[in-house]
Amino acid sequence: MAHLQLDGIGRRYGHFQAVDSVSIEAGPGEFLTLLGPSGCGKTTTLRIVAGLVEPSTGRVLLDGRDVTRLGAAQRGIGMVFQSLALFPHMTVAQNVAFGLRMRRVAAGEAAGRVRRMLEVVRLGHLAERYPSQLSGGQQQRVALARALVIEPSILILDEPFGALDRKLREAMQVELRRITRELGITSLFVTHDQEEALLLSDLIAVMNGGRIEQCGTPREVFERPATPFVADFMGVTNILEGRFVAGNEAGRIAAAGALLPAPPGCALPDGAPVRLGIRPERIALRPAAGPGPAEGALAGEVVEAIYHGSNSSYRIALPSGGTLTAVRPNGQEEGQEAPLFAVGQPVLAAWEAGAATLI
Amino acid sequence: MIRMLQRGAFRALVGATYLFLLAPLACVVLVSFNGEAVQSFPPASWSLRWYAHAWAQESFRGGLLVSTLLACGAALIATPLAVAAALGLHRSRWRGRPALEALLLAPLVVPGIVIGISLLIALAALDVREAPLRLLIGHTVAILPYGVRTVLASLARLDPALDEAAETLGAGGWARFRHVTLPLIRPGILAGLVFGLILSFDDVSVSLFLADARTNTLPLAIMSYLEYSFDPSVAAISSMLIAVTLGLAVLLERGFGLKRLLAG
Ligand SMILES: Nc1ncnc2c1ncn2[C@@H]1O[C@H](COP(=O)(O)OP(=O)(O)OP(=O)(O)O)[C@@H](O)[C@H]1O
Ligand SMILES: [Mg+2]
Repeated sequence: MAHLQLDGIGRRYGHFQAVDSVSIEAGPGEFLTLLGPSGCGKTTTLRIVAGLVEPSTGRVLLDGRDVTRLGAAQRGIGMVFQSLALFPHMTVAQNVAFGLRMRRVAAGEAAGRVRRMLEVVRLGHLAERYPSQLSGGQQQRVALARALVIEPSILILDEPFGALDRKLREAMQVELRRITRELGITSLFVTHDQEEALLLSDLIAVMNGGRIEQCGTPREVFERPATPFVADFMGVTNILEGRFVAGNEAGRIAAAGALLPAPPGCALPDGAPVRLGIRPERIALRPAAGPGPAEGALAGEVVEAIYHGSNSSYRIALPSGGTLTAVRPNGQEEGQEAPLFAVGQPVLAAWEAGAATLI
Repeated sequence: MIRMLQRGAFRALVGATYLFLLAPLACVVLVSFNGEAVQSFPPASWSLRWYAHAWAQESFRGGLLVSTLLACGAALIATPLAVAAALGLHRSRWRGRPALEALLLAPLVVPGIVIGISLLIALAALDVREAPLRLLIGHTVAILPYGVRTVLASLARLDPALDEAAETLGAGGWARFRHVTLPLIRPGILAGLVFGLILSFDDVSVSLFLADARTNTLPLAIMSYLEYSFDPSVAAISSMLIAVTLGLAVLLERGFGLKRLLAG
């Protein structure tokens, strides 16, 4: 259990800045996830922490100790690779024992620790198999056990579940959460899947183009995205540019030719430029009664309707030029059949004041 | 119907190719059991006398000893060198690396006779005069590229993350080589070794320039014997060589999958 701190980490490849002044921190026992699209520098950051890549700038601190110049073999960090990298010529038990062997742990003690760790990942019965004789999920557990048996100061994992099918993936996520909580180990995890990040993490750092855009708890990142990029990555795909209009109580926001309710608790000067973000599933639609906008709602026309089964998604063209995406549940809702909207139909889009966020 | 005909034609073609490849070898083996004093095909009578005759030849026995020692020596020296060279080449991020790799292929495309002459000139310039030493150096140099190639091929199939995984688990450079890289490229190394043995044992063009009257390899001994006599003892010795080579090739294939290694 250790305290991990990255202090202004940067890495250049030629003229390309793969990682740019990344400063993040995970307290003892915390689960920190680097979340971002492909190529944003997640793996590079992870490899810098592991000691497999030297940073061009910045420092890596473990429990306050500067380990930036230490080789990977000296850091005592457990790593699960994207390709798993199990040693194909060793049995499961030998794979798991490798780190202990390198540390010259006595054979008897090592055997005991390997056995206990295989119990933790529920693979005790397969100790004598070779990696090629295991299923994908079982191989995953071996990689995890191998990284954990050395009692690493921190555990780092690079998209370990990328190759698994959806069901197994979900099972392994639950398993990983159980194991890391059980051992109370500080973890640094990399993924490009926001659901996975939300489910596993204590802290999420959203990366884009080598930089950290926002770092916070899953709730913070999900509910109060700090930048349009984070908002978009977190599923807030509707963004309206507008101005704050001070007035009674919470105030209003003038955007897309309408006066919309402002999220509660925003105290901004009158006329301040704002960006309003709304999740597609929080937008309610109703047929437009007559021409002209209604109070607190946006009038528009359905230009695309896609049926997904349990819900339908609609793209709505606004007279101001932009579009909104709304996702509505299908089927019964409060005893009434939810209406389906057709392409070309004029609709009113509205949402509760609390459903929108300022970005 | 047409499919069947096509398949039949294809089989016939494959059969003919094998026949063409193997018939001369079968022929030699048959002739070696000839009972007559001249090579005739098919043999009129059968005996093992030419094996005895071949064995009685001082030049064949000496050649066999020289060739065996030479092949073992050259292969044992070349193999560790090949492993080191391949590892260095594999890890290097140097821009000249593809060129160097291509250069290593040179002995595969340059005529053997040219290599023989080059070695003769180079060793003369270095003032290496003893035939055994010249042969050992010559054969080592000649088989080295094959070793490097087979080892490089097995290194290329290795997931680089294996080495990194071992590193994060606390293994230093030597431990990583010893416990991870070496066991995984061992088939390639052994294949290179056996390959080297065969190539050295079989070589004429390099030895031709480096041997002398007192130190002669078996292929050279056979060639000079053929200049004066054309009896089936040459067929007998050839049959023995076929048996040994075939044995090694089977070993190679069984143990490490020759096809896989050559494809790499
Ligand atoms: N050794 C290298 N040499 C040059 N460029 C590199 C090197 N390693 C990474 N890069 C570049 O740095 C950027 C970040 O790479 P990185 O592997 O960290 O991305 P990532 O976020 O892990 O992406 P993914 O989700 O696809 O794995 C990429 O644009 C990549 O091309
Ligand atoms: Mg990556």
